[in-house]
Amino acid sequence: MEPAVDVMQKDEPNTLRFVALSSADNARISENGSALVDYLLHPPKGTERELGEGIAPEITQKRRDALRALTEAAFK
Amino acid sequence: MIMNATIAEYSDLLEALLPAYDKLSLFPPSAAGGGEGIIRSDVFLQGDALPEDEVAIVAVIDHVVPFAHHLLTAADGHSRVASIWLQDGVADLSPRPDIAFGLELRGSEIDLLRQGGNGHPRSEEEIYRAIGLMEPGRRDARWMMRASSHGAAVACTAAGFLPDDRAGRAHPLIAVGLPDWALADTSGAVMPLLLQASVVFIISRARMLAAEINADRAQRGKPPVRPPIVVNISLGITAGPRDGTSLIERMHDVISAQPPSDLGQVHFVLASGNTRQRRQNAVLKAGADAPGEIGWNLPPDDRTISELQIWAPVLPAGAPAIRLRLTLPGAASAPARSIETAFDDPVGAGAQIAMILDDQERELARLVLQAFARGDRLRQCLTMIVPPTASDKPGPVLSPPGTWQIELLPGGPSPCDVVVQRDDRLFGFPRAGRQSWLVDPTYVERDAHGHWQAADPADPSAIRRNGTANAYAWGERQLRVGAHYRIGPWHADDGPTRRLSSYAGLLANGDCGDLTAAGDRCVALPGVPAPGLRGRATQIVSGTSIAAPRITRWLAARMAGSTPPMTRSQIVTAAKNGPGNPAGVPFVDIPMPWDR
Repeated sequence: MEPAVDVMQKDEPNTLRFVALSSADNARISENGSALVDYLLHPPKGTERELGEGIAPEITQKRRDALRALTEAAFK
Repeated sequence: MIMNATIAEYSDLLEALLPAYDKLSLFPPSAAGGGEGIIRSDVFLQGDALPEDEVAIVAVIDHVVPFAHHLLTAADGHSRVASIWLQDGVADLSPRPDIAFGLELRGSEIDLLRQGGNGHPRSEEEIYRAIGLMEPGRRDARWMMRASSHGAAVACTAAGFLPDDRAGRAHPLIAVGLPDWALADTSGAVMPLLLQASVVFIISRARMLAAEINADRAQRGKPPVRPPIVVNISLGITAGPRDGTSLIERMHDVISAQPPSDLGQVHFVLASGNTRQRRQNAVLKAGADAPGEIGWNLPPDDRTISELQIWAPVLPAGAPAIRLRLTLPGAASAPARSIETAFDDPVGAGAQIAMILDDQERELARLVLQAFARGDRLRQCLTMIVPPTASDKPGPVLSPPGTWQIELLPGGPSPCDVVVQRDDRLFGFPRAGRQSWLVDPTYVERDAHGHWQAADPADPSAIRRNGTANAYAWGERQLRVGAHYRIGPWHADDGPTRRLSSYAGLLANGDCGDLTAAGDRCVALPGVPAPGLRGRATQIVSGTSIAAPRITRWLAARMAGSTPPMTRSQIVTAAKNGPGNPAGVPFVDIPMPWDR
């Protein structure tokens, strides 16, 4: 068995690398987009948040339609 | 356009967060709350709640707003809350088609709920139970069981009047109750969409209310009015462009500049924030003769991600990308824990995403270089996001706690603003985030007399206090509210600024907001009294969150008068000319119904 201190040292980050993502990944963020929103929607492996399980597209569309109806009512 | 851009940008994240509680809306209020649910009515205000001659609508966007509170009720028992959107309320079986989630209640519906008891009016608590807002078995329906809430203090301070006070008739309230989960995440990831939707809701309902008020006036033979609105937002974050270009700031400015034709002037009142002394802001300059390096301290036991933004000046397209050297904690014993960024020079608006990986392929940080269009030029922002430093579950990658060194390298834009995003925990919410902060050994927190420092000196260190105002509040027309101590010596030698609070966020020029109101009783007694959630309960609330609704209340009274102030400068002038103010200081002190 290895000493505990060695186990801890192995777990510490050592050599670092700067890895640029592809232009397809970069396109996830729009011109006025939020880096934080992109991070939450595309979290690092192993740190996924407990987001929702997904919802039927028609409900999503219904909500977006409602927001647009509210906007129209406000600024018509 | 701005609202559509907000929907496009944030609705995916909203959809990812919504389903968890949306499933609960399968159960109607009658099943969830034990009551008979809501009887639909489209009328906003009835009886004594309808304005007589003067009117200025007050709007509040906050958390847990007690719409059945007696201070929000007219003398004849009708609700003065014209409409409230409970964004995490249990949805009705037949929701209004423009309510995307949650529940809207109009004044007449609140009246019907109040009258729905068995031979006696329902109490506030019975009303909340009847529509599923007080349910011990549901995690998202326990707030109303408490004695106090932020929304109770803010809404009642902004628009609360004793029922027999006729002044209250001039100020109907339109409110939005934000979801618990949106407040729990103080970095405000999805807040832009919720705030924008709230503002749109307020404008929409204010226009309908204006039509209802004018129909009532026509019956009484009075000419129509265009009601002005004062919108209170006692919420904020710390990081952002801070140049008035965020979607939130742009929407506020556009509405204030061109309110709908059937409304009067619309003013947005925002708290300036309480983070002046929290070391969230700095300026770095690349080169040997200026501070080009700063520490970023990530505390242990932080269960949420931390974010830091570095903003360059506005530069021509093709200017070099921001260049950083990042060094992880403990680098003295392991020099390899340092790395330099290598982004391409941005030639147009867009983003470049990169990861910092260790030798085990763990992503220790996400770096995003964005270039935002500013006319024909670009403003770069390099965002650094790191994972939590602690987790309740085994497995996830954690960030090493301690001080990360950030060095702005020559060859890129300089100077650059550094801003740490808010990541703390609001009172009453479960433990989650812990606020990170910047570390500069040369920074001095207090002056020679032991006082907290005010505005930056002429030759500041890297850490700054100027520019610590709420990052939602850098628009051209918004009103930023700082805080002062209600009681205290004026310190003639130092000037009246001694009475300003030590914590309120400062504008770029070092001012404590555009104007101030009481955020504390005195230096030794933090906070001011404000109503609690039910009955005659009182709570003590401190900071610019509670100063802002005092300004909202004061401003609404002026907006209902014959010569309402239309611009920020007119409002500041009115505050400076108020009774008892020292010359040139925009202090506002107003009596509250609960003052003794």
